Amino acid sequence: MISSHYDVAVIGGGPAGMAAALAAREAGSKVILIEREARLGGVLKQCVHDGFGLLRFGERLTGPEYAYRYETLVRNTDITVATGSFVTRIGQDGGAFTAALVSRDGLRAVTAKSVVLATGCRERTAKQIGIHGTRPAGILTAGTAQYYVNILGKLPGKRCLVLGSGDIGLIMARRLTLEGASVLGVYEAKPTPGGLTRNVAQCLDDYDIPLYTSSTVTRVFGRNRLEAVEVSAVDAAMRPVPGTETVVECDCLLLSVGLIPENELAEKLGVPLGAGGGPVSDHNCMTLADGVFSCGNALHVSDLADYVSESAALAGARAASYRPGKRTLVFLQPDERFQIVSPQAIDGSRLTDDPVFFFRSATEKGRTTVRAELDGKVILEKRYSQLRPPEMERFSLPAGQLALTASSKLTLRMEDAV
Amino acid sequence: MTKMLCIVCPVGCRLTAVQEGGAVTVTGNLCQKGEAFGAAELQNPMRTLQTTVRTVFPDAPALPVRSAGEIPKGLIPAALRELADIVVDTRTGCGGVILDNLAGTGISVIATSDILREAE
Amino acid sequence: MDRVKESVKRLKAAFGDRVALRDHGHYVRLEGSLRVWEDVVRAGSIAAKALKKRKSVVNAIVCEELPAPKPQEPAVRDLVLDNTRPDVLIIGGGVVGCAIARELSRYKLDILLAEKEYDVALHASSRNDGMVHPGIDLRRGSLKHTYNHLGNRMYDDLCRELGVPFNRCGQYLCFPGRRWLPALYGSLVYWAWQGLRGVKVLRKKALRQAEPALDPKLTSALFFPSAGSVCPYGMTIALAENAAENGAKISLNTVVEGMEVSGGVIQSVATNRGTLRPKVVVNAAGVYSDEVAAYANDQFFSIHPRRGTNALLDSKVSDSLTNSIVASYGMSETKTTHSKGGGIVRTAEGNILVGPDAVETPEKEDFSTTRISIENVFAKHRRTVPALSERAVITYFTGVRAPTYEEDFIIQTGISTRNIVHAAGIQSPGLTAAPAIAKEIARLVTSYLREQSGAAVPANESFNPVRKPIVKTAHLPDHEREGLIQKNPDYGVIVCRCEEVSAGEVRDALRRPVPCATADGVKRRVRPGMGRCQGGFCSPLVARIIASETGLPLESVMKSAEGSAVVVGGVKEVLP
Repeated sequence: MISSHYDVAVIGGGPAGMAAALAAREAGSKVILIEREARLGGVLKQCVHDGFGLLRFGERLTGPEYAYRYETLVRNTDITVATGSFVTRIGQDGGAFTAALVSRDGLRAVTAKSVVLATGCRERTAKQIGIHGTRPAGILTAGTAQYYVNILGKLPGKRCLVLGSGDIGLIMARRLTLEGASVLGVYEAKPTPGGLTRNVAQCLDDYDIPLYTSSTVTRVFGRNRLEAVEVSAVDAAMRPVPGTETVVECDCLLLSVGLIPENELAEKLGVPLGAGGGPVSDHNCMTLADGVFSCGNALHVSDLADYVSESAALAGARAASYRPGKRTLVFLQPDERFQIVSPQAIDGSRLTDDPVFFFRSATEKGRTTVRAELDGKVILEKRYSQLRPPEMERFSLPAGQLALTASSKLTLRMEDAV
Repeated sequence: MTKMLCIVCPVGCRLTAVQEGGAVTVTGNLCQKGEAFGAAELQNPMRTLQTTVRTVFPDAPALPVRSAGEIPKGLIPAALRELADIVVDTRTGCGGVILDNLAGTGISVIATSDILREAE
Repeated sequence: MDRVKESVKRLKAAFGDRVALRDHGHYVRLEGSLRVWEDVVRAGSIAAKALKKRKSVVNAIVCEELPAPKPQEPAVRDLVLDNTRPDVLIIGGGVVGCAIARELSRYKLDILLAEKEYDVALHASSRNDGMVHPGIDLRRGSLKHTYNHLGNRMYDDLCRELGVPFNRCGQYLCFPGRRWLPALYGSLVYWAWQGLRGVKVLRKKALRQAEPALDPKLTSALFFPSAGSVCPYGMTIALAENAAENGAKISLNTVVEGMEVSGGVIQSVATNRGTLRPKVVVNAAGVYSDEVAAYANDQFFSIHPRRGTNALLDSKVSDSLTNSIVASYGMSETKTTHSKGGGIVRTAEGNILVGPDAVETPEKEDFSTTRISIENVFAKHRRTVPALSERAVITYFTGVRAPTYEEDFIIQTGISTRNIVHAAGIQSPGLTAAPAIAKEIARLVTSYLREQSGAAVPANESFNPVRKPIVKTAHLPDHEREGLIQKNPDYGVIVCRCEEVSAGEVRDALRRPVPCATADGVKRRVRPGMGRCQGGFCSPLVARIIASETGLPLESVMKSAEGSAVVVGGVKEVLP
């Protein structure tokens, strides 16, 4: 098998992988960017709606445009781009990482000093949320529907119902409406929508698509094509309430019920995963396996591609400057008001810039102060006018004040602001 | 008084727009764009349309496109009907113009993907 | 004691005058009407129990609450089979029917297998846990016992011939506490008498070493080395393909609608594809085997469908649960009524299957799943392996078993009609028994034909028992995989990331001896969509390949049967 050597191997050619590869190349590394599909861009290729790039480019771009900008940047470098290439094996051999790729051209081996995992995420499926009944055609995740509509130009159904108000679900409700299907409603088990508020406004309100919160699909009917679904109200614990069942006739059920970071390769490298499904990592996006970096939705599911690019560029740069050595890891200790904080740790021995963190609150909150304390000393106080679980927030800690030792205690608290 | 949510950026400001005579006052916005959005939303809501058009190429049957600027929200159905008749038969690149005058607005429609060139 | 009188007495005690029993000699027929289905089934069971297999039970009691559900019929109606005269017509393309087709293809015979569905293995044969049973709970002397033992021993060679992965992993039946040990050692004689070879008793340490995830309270166990696991639809498809390679015709979407019987002989068989005149008919129609028997004027048994639900778990968690097949006994005093048997099975593909439960149902094709079934199945088997979690579920499915009221197989020539051979009432362990059942049915068919013609049925000289399976490229050594990709680059294009399936394999699946150009058909053959994303990424890609292979538009690509299109039209075709 032909083997080629690189400094940095980036796996995944979506917005994260492209940004990571570019940053690693800018830092002077020899880089290979490995993408499973025939084209770079990842899921952005099918996100024909706009809203991308406001932070990164100061413009309102569609997904394919955002991807095209990055792809152009990548193509203008000497980064080796391996599209249509699937990583079939990955491991560590001595100090180097080795990966076996399979493509139309055959098998090839790649070795690299460090690896950036930018493998994105997948969607939670009907069976994973316990939908019962028959198994007809017409039940698919919102992302799969998006592929049919935007890449293949086909409708997955004519009378559609969306379960889950995640962003892709909201966006697909609008896309299907525009393309000639009728969307009967979006059903959300939680009491509040799961996607960005502006997506509720521009995708549902604009087209008079009803949003039903605290209700879910409990059963599906139809042997060949979907014929109807049963929807039920749910209680505070999100359990269906008996007696509230109604049957809605439809031929398509879209699911937008959560995204799961894809970390099968990370697991092959023995990388421990955190509660959110992404690798536990430090502020340099390095996982607990030395030399393995993680970024984008594989690290934590983001709601903005711009944030993905930002964290991925950091991962790429740090992967480029990676040298083996001991880390001084101090784990953040967030209180229970945080649903997720990522990354989870700071490496005190590799601290140059202010470390950046992303978080989601566990519940909807009004004015809130986020306070970080290092060994009892306040090092950050940041105010937010409102916090919603679907909306990821960002803060950074002042590197100058982070004199860390292995026994440092770094706490994060959320307090109602007056 | 109309309450609305600003959709210009991910911040999602909750706006209140009040029309007095010809003038519209917008509150709740964090930036200038929000003020403009609020005023337009009250008088003549505008949207950018993103969709796909058909192509003759089996490897890329749908080409992502968008209106190059905003069009009146009320014209979206007419715009879609117009786009339904278009079949792209040249390998247009990202940014290439697909249609000059969408639904009589004077706004053009441009390709947002390079898929046709890449697939070549 | 007069068993019939006893039956009548017991039925009268339970149902008064609402149920009548008519004695037809070799069977009894129950008539009347009862409100709920449970009672209809109970009446059948009461009668069968009292009759002690002297006579069998035909249960014609009407259930007042439920109209008889309509089976799914194929959409096609043509005359492609009209006036054909096959030597043998096999009705039913489950594992039994397909095994019979293959067995009969050893002879120079014109064989036609008619399957009602769009693919083989669509009912019980694709909806079970794939366990090759050692035959623990089977009564010696029953047909189940006989054929399970014979079939079990055939599996290694058969799977080798057919290129089907088979894992003879053994089964642990575990018990709480050392107090069970004397009884377990004592039982070894019983197992030997039952014909089970190599059964062992395991104590705590050895058990823990073999199966570390078991509940710590389970400290003694029996090990049955002859248990194994196989992909049940993979097996069925392989049998069908090998039968087809050896000359048998497999006609999908073909349902038998009636028969013309005179002089104790089936003269013709009406189907949706025309009327056939077979010399002999094999009834392997699963849940419909009683109805097929009735068409043949030879019904002496009834099928009462019994649902079973299994859950399939992500292969990631397999190692933390079991390396083989585990079940436990005696862990709880409270027995859930609808949950018996089953276990935690490591499939030949490396996933974990949990289940099944057992629920009586009036519907022969009631494949829907319910929350309660899944909850029961997990609650039950968590007693064996506490780490078992519903969070690892990637899918679940329900199958419908086809038991008779006698709860045994029927493997015999017709009683009133001479040219029918029944392979009916084949429920668990039908998968294990299928190869042996097929041998016996083939013997019955060929002896009937010999009697008719006066000459032995000649062998099929060109019979080849070996089937070349579709190559799983991800399992090949690097140099072989490389060679394959150099010959056909499609083998290097991975369409299903979870199961690492290439476009080349998907195309292969569409070019087999029993082609099934549907998304689910491809899935059962080469596994795209079987993994944790359940086709989220690959289903449109597979649909496109099917469209390109068949030359049909995407709208004509079906998920499963006709009417299950994956897409319903183009965008902007209908705009307001």
